[in-house]
Amino acid sequence: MRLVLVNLSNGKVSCTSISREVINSYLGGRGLGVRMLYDLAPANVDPLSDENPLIFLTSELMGTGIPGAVKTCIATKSPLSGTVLMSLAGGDFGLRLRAAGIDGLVVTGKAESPCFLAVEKGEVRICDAGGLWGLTTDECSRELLPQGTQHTQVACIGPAGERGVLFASVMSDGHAFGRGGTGAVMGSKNLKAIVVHGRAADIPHIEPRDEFRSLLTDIARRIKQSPRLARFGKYGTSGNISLVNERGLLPTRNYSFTQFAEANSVSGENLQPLMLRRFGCPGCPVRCRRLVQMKTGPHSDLIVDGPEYETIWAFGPHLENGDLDSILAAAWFCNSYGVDTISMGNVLGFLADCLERGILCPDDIGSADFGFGNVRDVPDLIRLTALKEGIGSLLALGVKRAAQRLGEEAEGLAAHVKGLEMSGYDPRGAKGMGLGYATSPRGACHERAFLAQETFGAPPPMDRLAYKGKGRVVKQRQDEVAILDSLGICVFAAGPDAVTMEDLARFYSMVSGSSFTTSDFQVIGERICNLERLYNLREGLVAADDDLPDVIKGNVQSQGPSKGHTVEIEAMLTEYYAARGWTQDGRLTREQEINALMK
Amino acid sequence: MQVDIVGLGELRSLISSSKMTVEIPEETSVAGLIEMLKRTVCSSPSQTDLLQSAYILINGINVEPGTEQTAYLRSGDRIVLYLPMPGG
Repeated sequence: MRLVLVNLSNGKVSCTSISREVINSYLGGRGLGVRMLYDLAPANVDPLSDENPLIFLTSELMGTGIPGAVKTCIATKSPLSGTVLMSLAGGDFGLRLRAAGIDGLVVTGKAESPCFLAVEKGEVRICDAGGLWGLTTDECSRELLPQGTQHTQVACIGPAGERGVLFASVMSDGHAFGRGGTGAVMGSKNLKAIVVHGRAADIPHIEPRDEFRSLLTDIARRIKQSPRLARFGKYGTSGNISLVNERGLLPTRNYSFTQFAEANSVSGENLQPLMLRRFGCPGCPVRCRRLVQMKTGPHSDLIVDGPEYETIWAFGPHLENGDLDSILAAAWFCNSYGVDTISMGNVLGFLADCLERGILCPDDIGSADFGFGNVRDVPDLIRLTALKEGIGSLLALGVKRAAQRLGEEAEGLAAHVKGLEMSGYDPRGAKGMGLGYATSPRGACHERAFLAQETFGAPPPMDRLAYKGKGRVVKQRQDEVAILDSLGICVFAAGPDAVTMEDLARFYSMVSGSSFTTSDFQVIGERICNLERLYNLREGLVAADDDLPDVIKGNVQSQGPSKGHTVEIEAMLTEYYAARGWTQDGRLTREQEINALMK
Repeated sequence: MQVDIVGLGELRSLISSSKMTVEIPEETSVAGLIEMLKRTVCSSPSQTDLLQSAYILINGINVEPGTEQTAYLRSGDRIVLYLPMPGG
């Protein structure tokens, strides 16, 4: 794998390559990212300092035609949580990077003035971005990709990243490198954008060609015959809102309840009449992206990337809002200003709770009119947050830091783990999800250990309310997802009816020239998770950080399918640490440390 | 006795998402209810297949295939029929 190192402080651009032994130990993407972050970032580095690297990584499977092999990874230290931050996004940015002859890009230092990187034919140029600074992500992309441009893609930040909003995202063609503040790190380097030009045809083929094609044909047949993926393509994850509500897993009113009376009004099925077209990532037959056009409301002219489950939840049930148009508008403003939709919705839910309880007063939010069920001024609050103006300067800190500034009562309303805001699956009705939030290396992330059996009742049966056994299955799922993330495979294209772990082992055997099995992947997945843990421990996190917020633990549900439930995390954690082979204070053994670093 | 039935996703077009209240005899099982729905709401084999493959929640709790499917429904039960999709 060929990496380009860019030091923005001195303008130096250099190349290096990663040995096959190292690639085989971490695969690429997230796995290689954590190894490079561990090696390149000084211990306890300030995430917004020159020394925190911003690492873009692909995998050797990307751009080869494997369905779902589209996820580019950004590895850095999170300014929001102080943890390892691995943020993945689909689309064709990584494909273009590989087509340009570069498998990864490591950006360090800080430019004296705003700049962007232009990548083409294996070379990287540092260019002046003075005219781009201040633009939204849409405006910036349009400037860098004039109409008619081909084989080119942009990843850029909006005003939120420029101003250091701690949950700012990097955006690329509607895909977000979200959660944890990748955009703030990019902005701290005075780096506005990266433009990559490359033809997909220039990406090396996987050999032996016949075996590769035969396997691709099998996968394509499976996907075509999968009713699950046919439905998924129609609604994306947005169609899950009603179901999650029925199961009592839909956080409502800043996690006060687990069901929302108006859930059916905002579930993804309602997006169908608004849909302009459906499309997908390069080479993926699932085609789960949708472009929708708003038809009513004050923003009826907007065309919006069809929001997924989490965004609908964050600006819908979380704010006790049953108006889909307002949710679409919020999604558009978040993407344009470059902020993470889950965190933004969370800080607004937190704000509404603080206003309701008198921790903040209406004067504190200026002229905005806002509260639970009253979302008219949400776009303005997103803008203020992105620009860090007025109440936005508090919200831009995320719920953990904002609550610390407001005092003890506010801290009890802040839904986060390790500083990262929680997602839209309520752990009171899905205990494994709770353990997943508590132990995810980047904080309260639903993606690292999503258990469809628990959340949706998919086979094989799993008691969602049971504690016993969750430690083991969460560990297994985390290790699996680490493999998918490292190979750049979208979790939605992975599964028995799509790309299987066996398929991936065969593909990786072809590209590496060595024989890999799913058992080898289990070892590598565990190694990656252990190294992320090791990184977090080095940065000062401790076992006590593997916890859930009081807003969950202290709030037993009084009604619905999760009635009588909260989450008791301790027993699950004990089982989880044991499954990982960690000590009971959540530390790695010496042998695991050596294996994680391949010393 | 009466039970409420809700269809999600594709099943919305068969059964209203805002719930449909149906009258069923006492000692009707979940499996019996599905058979009854096949006769009353399905107009094509594909709709029947859809209903047959539906996952079932009774009052928010999943019905395990082959177990509670034979259990009797109670008056006022809320039955949700759905087809799961990947999460995230």
